Formats: sequence, C-alpha cells, structure tokens
Amino acid sequence: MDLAIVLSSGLLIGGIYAFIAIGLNLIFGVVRVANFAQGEFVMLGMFVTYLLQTNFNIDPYISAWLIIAPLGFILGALVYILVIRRLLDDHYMQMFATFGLIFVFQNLVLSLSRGEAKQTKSVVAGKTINAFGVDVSIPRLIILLSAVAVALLLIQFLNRTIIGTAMRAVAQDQKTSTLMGINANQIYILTFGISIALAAMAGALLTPSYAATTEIGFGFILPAFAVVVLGGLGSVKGSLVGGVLIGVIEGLAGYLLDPQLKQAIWFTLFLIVLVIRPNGLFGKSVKGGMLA
Amino acid sequence: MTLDIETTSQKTTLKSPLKSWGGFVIGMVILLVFARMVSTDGYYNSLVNAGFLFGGLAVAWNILGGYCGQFSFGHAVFVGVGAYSVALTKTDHNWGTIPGIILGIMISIAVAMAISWPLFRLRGSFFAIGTLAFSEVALSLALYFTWTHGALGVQIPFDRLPIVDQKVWLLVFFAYLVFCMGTSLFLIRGRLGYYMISVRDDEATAAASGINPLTIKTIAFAISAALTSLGGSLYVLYLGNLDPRAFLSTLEIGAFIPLLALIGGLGTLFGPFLGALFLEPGQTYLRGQFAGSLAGISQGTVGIILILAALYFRQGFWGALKQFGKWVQRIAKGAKK
Repeated sequence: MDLAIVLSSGLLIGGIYAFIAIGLNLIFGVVRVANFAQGEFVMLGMFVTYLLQTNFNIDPYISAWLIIAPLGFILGALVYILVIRRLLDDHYMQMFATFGLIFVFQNLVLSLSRGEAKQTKSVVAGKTINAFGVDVSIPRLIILLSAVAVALLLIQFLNRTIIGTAMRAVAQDQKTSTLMGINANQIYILTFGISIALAAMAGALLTPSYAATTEIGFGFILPAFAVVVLGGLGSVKGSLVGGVLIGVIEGLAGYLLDPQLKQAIWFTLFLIVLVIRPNGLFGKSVKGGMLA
Repeated sequence: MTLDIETTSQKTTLKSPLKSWGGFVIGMVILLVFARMVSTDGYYNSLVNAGFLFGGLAVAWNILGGYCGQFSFGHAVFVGVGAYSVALTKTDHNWGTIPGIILGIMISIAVAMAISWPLFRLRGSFFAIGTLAFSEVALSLALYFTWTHGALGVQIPFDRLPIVDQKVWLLVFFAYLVFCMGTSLFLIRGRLGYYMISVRDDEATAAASGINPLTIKTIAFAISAALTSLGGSLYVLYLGNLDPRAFLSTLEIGAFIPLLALIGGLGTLFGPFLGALFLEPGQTYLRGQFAGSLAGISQGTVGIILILAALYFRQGFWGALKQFGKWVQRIAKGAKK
C-alpha cells in the first residue's frame, strides 16, 4: 500500500518535471542553447498568475491557457531576439547570458514581492480523489494530464504541420535547412516562444499546489536538465517518459533510503547516464537530435 | 567550441612586460599600497578583503575555465571542501589551522581528479550541466550527514580563530591573491600553459600534436581546485561561520566566480582579478546602499552587467583596457607624424 502511494506521488512530481523539461528540451534540441534560466520563467508564470488572481480574480487554470501562455510566448520571443540571437555562435556566452537572466528575474521579483511566498486559491486546491485506494492530489493530477496533453499536441504539431517539419529540419541540420529556404531565425523565435510559453504555463498550473517563491525556479532547472539528458536531446516523448522516471526514482529513493538523499541519488544517476549514454536513454545521436 | 578570446589570449602568452616576473612584482606592490590607502576604516577594509579573496578565487577558476576552456559551475564544491576541512578539524578534532588547510587541498585535488574522468567526457554545455549537478550533490550530502553538522553548519569558536584583525586579513587575502596569480603566471609562461591553451583552442589538433587532452584538463582542474580550496579555507576562517547553503551555493559561489572572470576578461592573467575588484565590493556597496528600499538590486545589477558583458564585452575589462591602450598608441603615433 505504501509503495502505491510512493509511486503515485512520484508519478505526479514526474508530471511537473516533464512539463518543465519539454520546453527546456525544445530549446536545447532546436536552438542548441542550454537555457539555465528556464526555471525562472516558471517562477515568473507563478507570480503573474498570482497577480491575475488577486487583481482580476481570474482562476489559475483559466489564465494558464488564455493569458500566461501568450504572455510567455511574447517574453520568450523577446528574450531570443534581444539576447540569445546575438550569441548563437558562442555556447559559453550563452551560458553566461542565461545565468545573467536568472540573476535579473530572481532579483526583480524579489524586490517586487519583497520575498514573500504567494499562493493562489482554486476550487480544487488541496482536494484529492481516490483512485484504486490511493489519494491523488487533484492539482498535481491536472499538471500530469496537462503535461501529457501538451506533449501529444507538440508531437502532432512537429510531425503533422509544415512549421513543425521546418523546426525538425532546423534541429537536424541548420545549414542545410537554410539552404532549403527555411528561415532559421524565425524558427528559433517560434521555438523560444513556445518553450517559454510552456514554462510559464507550468508555473501557472503549479500555483494552486506550490507557493511561489523567488528561488523555486532554480530548484526545477536541474531536475529538468536531468530529464532532458535521460529522455534524449530534442525528444518530446523522451522528456515525458524521463520526467515520470525521475519523479518515480525520486519517490522511491525517498521511501527506501532517506527523503533528504533523494536529490543526491538521482543526480548521481543523472551523472552516470550523462557519461555512459550522452544521447539519453531513448535518444538517437546528439548530432541528429531528432524531435518527437 | 572556440572561444572568442583566442586571438587576444594567444598574444598575451607571448612576451609582454606585464607577463614578466618583474612587472608582476611591481604591479602587486602598487596594488598593496593602494589597498592599504583605501582601507581607511573597517567597512572599506572589508570591501578590499572581499575583493582580494574573490579575485583569488576568480584567478583560480580561470586556470581551468579561461586557459583550459572548461567552464565549471561547480567550483563551490572546492570552496566547500576547503571550508569544511578547516572548520570541522578545528572544532571537532582540535587540529591546527595549517594541517586543516592542507587536508582540504589534498581532498580537493583527489576529488577533482576522481570526477575528471566522468566529467571531461562531456563537452561544452554538457560539462557545465554536469558540474552543476555535481555541486548540487555536494550540497545535499553536506546537509544530510551528521559529521558535517547538517543544515546547522559549523561555528568556529572565536578563540579558535587564528586571525581576527581586519588589517591582518587584508595582508592574508593579498598573499592569497598573489599566490593564485603567481601560479597562473608560472603556468602560462611555461609549457603546461601552452598545452592548456592549445587544448582549449583546438582539442583535436592538440591531441594530434601529442598532447593528451584529458591529462592536461585533469592537471588544470587539480591546480584550480587546490587554489579554490585554499580560498575556501581562508574564507571560513575569516567569517568564523560555515553556512552550507552559502558556501555551496550554486548562484552565489559556483556561478558567481566564473562571472567575475568573464567580466574581467577570460583567459587573461589580470582580467579575473580586475573583475572581482570592481564587482565584489561594488555589489556589497549597492547592497548596503539599497538595503532597506530595494532588495535584490545588487544581484539584479550583477545580472544585467553579466548579460551586457556576454553581448558586447566578451573580452572583459582587461580587453577594453588593452584596446584603449592600442588606441592611445595609435593617437601618439599620429601626433609624431
């Protein structure tokens, strides 16, 4: 019985990791930028959702899709145009710039929120449903289901639409795809927009179950990178599976050993996978970087 | 994988008056006199101390990051190892200061060599992510074990601190900085430095010329880790209090040291120290000025400077100074004609 609870909670945490990792992986796979600031967009999403609820009384689950996602898209496109676009040739400067973004966003929010934790209210907050004898938190279940839905939509988008195909082409070989008449710059803007929109949306969906703090985003970035590495660079499906896997490992490690050690255990696992299979457990070659 | 600074740093490794031991000694003496003049009261003295300490740490990081081209965001681990070695042996086992420092350096070298094998199989961003993960593991282990005092950290009793006078600390941190820069200078004037730069600029060519890149990277990592550990030991003796979340912080130590080096000038001898000299006291000053009104402004400013440096200023302060010097020379030549 205990094991069922551990597995279900691991699964739900995994949903959060997967949601954040899908966006991170999209940028990593298509634009080849390790965006260390991805977690900060989750954090921004949380705070804006809180502001929307306190000022305009908009439910977080409505604002996530209708307001936060479009805002995130615009912010992502801006970040790409203003910062990342000028650094495409230099991986080291990209890393520095994304760390700069972390400092800027964290401290901007810190000075505006004065370091107070914020949480939104929702009808489902704190509610659980009983599935097969295990109590499942509804807000977290919504995140897991949303992650699956987003992953499926994204896979369809990448495989079935002409823009999605163009994105996969740029991810595979930027130079050749440019020769084929694809505007890589526009694809990169689109990728950043979608990716940051997903991060901000994840933040909005988190607010009913997590209190928004300035540091929360950075706490998500390493699990998300671990998911990317496990699932394979540029693979949406891999991110989903990897996220759930990391969540379950974290839950099991906490249950079998010590909750405080769960981080150390899956970080070690992550390092091992990074070294033995740099392309991820399910990934093909890094150079190919196939999406979906 | 190429660094933007390669052309300039290739030149800096050639003979230049600033790269000679004589020039180095003169520069350091001027610096010390200047530092003593600025440190009129305790507050300014502490700013100079922090500038020297973080300058030394940035110079130490630069040996691996700047010369060898391996960007580690995990150097907080070595600051932590140095700090814990001194603090724990002092408080729990009654050791002296020097044995504790030496123990820290030895553990740091061993740790650096042990993780070199897995980490250096990773390139570019993946290496950075790996070091970041390594740093997080170290933090969670430090918080978990009881012999590290867990989340409480370590308090060194006041009467066990070897030095308490701020003015003496200024000399100690200055000596640390000189030692780090001296090591850097020794390296880049010798064969090993050239090996490191060749591995950074073109690993395949370096390997083809008979250099073993893994060996060179491991040596650079070990030297860098040892110097960083020494800095960590001094830092905890200076503060007297080891808070694991501060010493092993990814943002405040692990990512902060490399950014000092970047802003000063990656892969240069004086750049990382210059970056620290401006940024570390500058940050503390801003924090003090806006403490009550705008929390976070000091680090927010650091973030903006970091982004601007990555966008427009990749050669750092040192690169800008050199360009200014060339410009002055050109003007002077023009005036002669």
